[in-house]
Amino acid sequence: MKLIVKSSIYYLIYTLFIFTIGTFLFYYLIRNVLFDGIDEAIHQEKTQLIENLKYEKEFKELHQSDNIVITKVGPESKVYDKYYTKAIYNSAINEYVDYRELKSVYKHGDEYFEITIRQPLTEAEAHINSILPIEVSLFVGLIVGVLLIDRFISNKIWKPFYDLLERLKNYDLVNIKIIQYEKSNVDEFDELSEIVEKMTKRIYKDFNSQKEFNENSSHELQTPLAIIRNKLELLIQSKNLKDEDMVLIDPIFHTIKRLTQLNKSLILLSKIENNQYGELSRIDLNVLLGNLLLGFEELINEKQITLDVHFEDQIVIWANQVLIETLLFNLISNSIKHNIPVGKIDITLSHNTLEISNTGEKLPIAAERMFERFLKSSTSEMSVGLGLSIVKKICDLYDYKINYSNQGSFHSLKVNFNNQNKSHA
Amino acid sequence: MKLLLIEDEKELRQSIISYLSQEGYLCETARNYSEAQEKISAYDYDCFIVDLMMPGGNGLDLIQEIKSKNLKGGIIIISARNTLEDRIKGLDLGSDDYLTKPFHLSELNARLKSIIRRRQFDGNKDIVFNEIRINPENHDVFVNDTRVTLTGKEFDLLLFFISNKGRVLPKDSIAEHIWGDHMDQSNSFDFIYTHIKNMRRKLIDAGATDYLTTVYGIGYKFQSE
Repeated sequence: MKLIVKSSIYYLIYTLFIFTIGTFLFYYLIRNVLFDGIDEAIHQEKTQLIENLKYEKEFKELHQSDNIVITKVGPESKVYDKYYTKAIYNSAINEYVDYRELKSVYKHGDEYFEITIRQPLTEAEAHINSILPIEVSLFVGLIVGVLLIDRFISNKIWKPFYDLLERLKNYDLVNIKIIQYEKSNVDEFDELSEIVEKMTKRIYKDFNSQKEFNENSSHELQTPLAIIRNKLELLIQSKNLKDEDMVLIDPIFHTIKRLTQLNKSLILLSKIENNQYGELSRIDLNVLLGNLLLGFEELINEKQITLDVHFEDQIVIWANQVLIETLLFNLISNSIKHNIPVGKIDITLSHNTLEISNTGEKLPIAAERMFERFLKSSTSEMSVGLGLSIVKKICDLYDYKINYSNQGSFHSLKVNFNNQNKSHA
Repeated sequence: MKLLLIEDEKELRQSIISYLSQEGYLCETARNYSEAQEKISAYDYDCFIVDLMMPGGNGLDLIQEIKSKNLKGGIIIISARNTLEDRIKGLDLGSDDYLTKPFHLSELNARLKSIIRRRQFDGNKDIVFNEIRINPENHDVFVNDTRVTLTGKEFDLLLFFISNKGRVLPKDSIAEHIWGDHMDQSNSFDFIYTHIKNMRRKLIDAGATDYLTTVYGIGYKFQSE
């Protein structure tokens, strides 16, 4: 719900509330004022009547008319005045008409008389009833006014806000970098725009220093590794080393290799996270996969693994070549690494989906944790446990869906390249 | 053969020089950009080994300078950065090869020899090691003029061994030379072993001496005594 709609609703609910109470108050107030006037008038009439009656020697049922009734009442009565409203049937117009009545008991000598004076309320009610339509039309007028002003506000005054929002929506570090301050005539929006500029400047700065850090850390770590490796290479040329010395040196070479791989993987991960693989190209997955598999042929044969490849559809995607190669490489490498001797690998390309399944031991970890960093199974010690988290990162980057499923000893990873640049052959 | 090594890291410089000078190269070094510029304008070199990141400038600019002066030497980049852009840029500027740190000295040596070989325009490019003769362009191998048919990997192995003759080669460096550095399979050396065994057998069958010796615990050595 838009802010403007939300505030309007509260505004209107409050207005409705005040108008309802106001209408009732106003109604009763006007009514009381009018009734007081009428009561005053019939009271005057009664006083006049009693005054006149004093001069009557013998009280007869005089002054009788439609609006004045005088009757003799018993001696037990008391003197009083009573005002009330009463509906009386009028046969001429065939409906009830409201009257204001004054019932008064008056003592004349030793006798008591009851005087009833009434006056029709038709005119007063007409006045009162005209209040409601006026109130309602005022309310409707107010609502329409509020809505029109709101619309104007949302179109005109909020424009800088929505403009800024649009720019934030399209914000990315590769193309936009910094959202520049833009002046509007609202202080709050100016402040917001200023803060957004500051914030994006900072993000961009951090992004750049992160980028630099990645490159430098790569340099800083690879160089000492190179020194160790090269010194070792020189050392093993020595004629003085015994066999047992060589046995000690050999694992150092492996460890350097492992460190190097680990370092490369970490740099790759942070580079993906920093969106440093922006360059896209058209990639034919069938061709790429075929080429990669050629490189793995020997490894697969050595482990006596049966490879079944089914290219049912041609899948062409737009993505970064390096990343997609890494994705496929890691998936294939993974299916070999975690395979059993004389195992099986099935690779299927169909309906924009790549499925790689392989035989293997039971998962040593929960399936939902398999894309986490540094979780590795025990079978292959050279693995640094980053292969699948790199795969996941790349999938996340391009919104590819990746799923793991398991059927008996068959482990299967499915990547759905369901992006908008897909094409079927 | 005269080389110029442009590298700011002292220990790396020393290791590389120590390894390469045993191959008979005359090695000179430059520690930074300006020193490199001086040596480039003053002397002729057969090959430049250039680190991309160095104090005082970018190695890529230096390559541009070498190329703009029409110097005849080959160029090999050694860099800690393994980005595709650097690689493409370096090769576009006219460098002959790109090695990512940490590399094996044996690998650098093999690549250097290959560059120098490719740049020899005069006459015979064959590599001769006693009775073994290799034509690197046609991938032909002869033992006493008898042709030996080797597979691609066996050929690469033989060339790598002969390039680093007399050196102890750790298994990792051999595996990496054949498979590239992304092969992280723990048992990748088992496959290398098969290739080595086959190559050795083919050469011996063709009448060559068995020059390959196993160095216990570490790897192999190819030598003539």
